[in-house]
Amino acid sequence: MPTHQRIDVSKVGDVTVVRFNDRKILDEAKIIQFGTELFSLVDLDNRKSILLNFDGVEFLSSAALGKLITLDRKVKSHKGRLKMSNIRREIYDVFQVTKLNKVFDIHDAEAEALSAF
Amino acid sequence: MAHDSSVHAANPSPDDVGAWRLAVHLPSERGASRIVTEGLLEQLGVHGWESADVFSIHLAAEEAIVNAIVHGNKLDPHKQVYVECLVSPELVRVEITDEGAGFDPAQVPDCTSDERLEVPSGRGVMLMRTFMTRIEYNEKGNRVLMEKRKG
Repeated sequence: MPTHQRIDVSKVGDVTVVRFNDRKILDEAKIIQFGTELFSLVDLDNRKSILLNFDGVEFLSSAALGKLITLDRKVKSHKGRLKMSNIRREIYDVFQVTKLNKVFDIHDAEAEALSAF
Repeated sequence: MAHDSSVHAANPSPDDVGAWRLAVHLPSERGASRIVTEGLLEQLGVHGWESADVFSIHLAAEEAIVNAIVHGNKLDPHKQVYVECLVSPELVRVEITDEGAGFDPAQVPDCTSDERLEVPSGRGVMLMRTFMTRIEYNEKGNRVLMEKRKG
C-alpha cells in the first residue's frame, strides 16, 4: 500500500475509511497531493466502498471540493460507493449552497455511514 | 509578513475607528494567499468575530486571491496581486486587484445547474457572493471588493 501524507486510511470490514491529516484543506500544493492520494484508492487500489470521515476538518476551499467531485465520479465509474460523514456545519453549508449535498451521500456520523453501505 | 499601516480611507467612517489594516502586494504563486489570511484570521479573532463568520470571510478571501493569482495573473511571475484589508468589530472589507485582463462575472456559468453540478471547478465566485454581505467588481473585472457586516 502506498504511503499517504494527506490522508489516513483504515479498513472497517469491507469499507475503506479515510480521515484527513490537515485541519485546513486549502494549500494548493497539498490539495493536489490530497487529490492524488484519494484518486489512488480507486485507480490503483481498486477500492469499491470508501467513507470519507471529515472529523477534525475545519476548512476546505473550492479547489478541494473539485477533488471530491472528481473522486465521486471516479468511484461511480468504477461501480463503487462513496459516502461522507462528520462534516462540520460550515463545510456542510458550502455543500448545500453549491448543491453538492445532492451529489454526495452525506451522513452525520461514521457508524451511520458504515451501516448504510 | 508585510504590514503597511499607511493606507487611509478617503472618508473615514465609524467602521474605521480602531480598525486593523493591511495593504500588501502578493507574488503570483500558489500558496501566496497565506500572506494575507494568517493576519486576517488573527485579527478577526482580536475583533470578536464569530467562528461561522470567520469561516465565511476566510473562504471568500482565499477564493478571491486564488482567482486573482491563477485566473487573473495566470501565475505570471512578473505580475502581482494587490490586497487591501480592513477589519473592525462590525465590518470586514477585502479588496483584491490583479494585473490580468479582467473578466465578466455575469458570464460565469451557474455551478448549481444540472449540467455543471459535477464539474470540478467554477465555484469560487459563487461562494464569495454567498458568504459575504456585499461583493462588487470593477468594470474591467480585475478588482473585487468584498464586505462582511456583522449580524
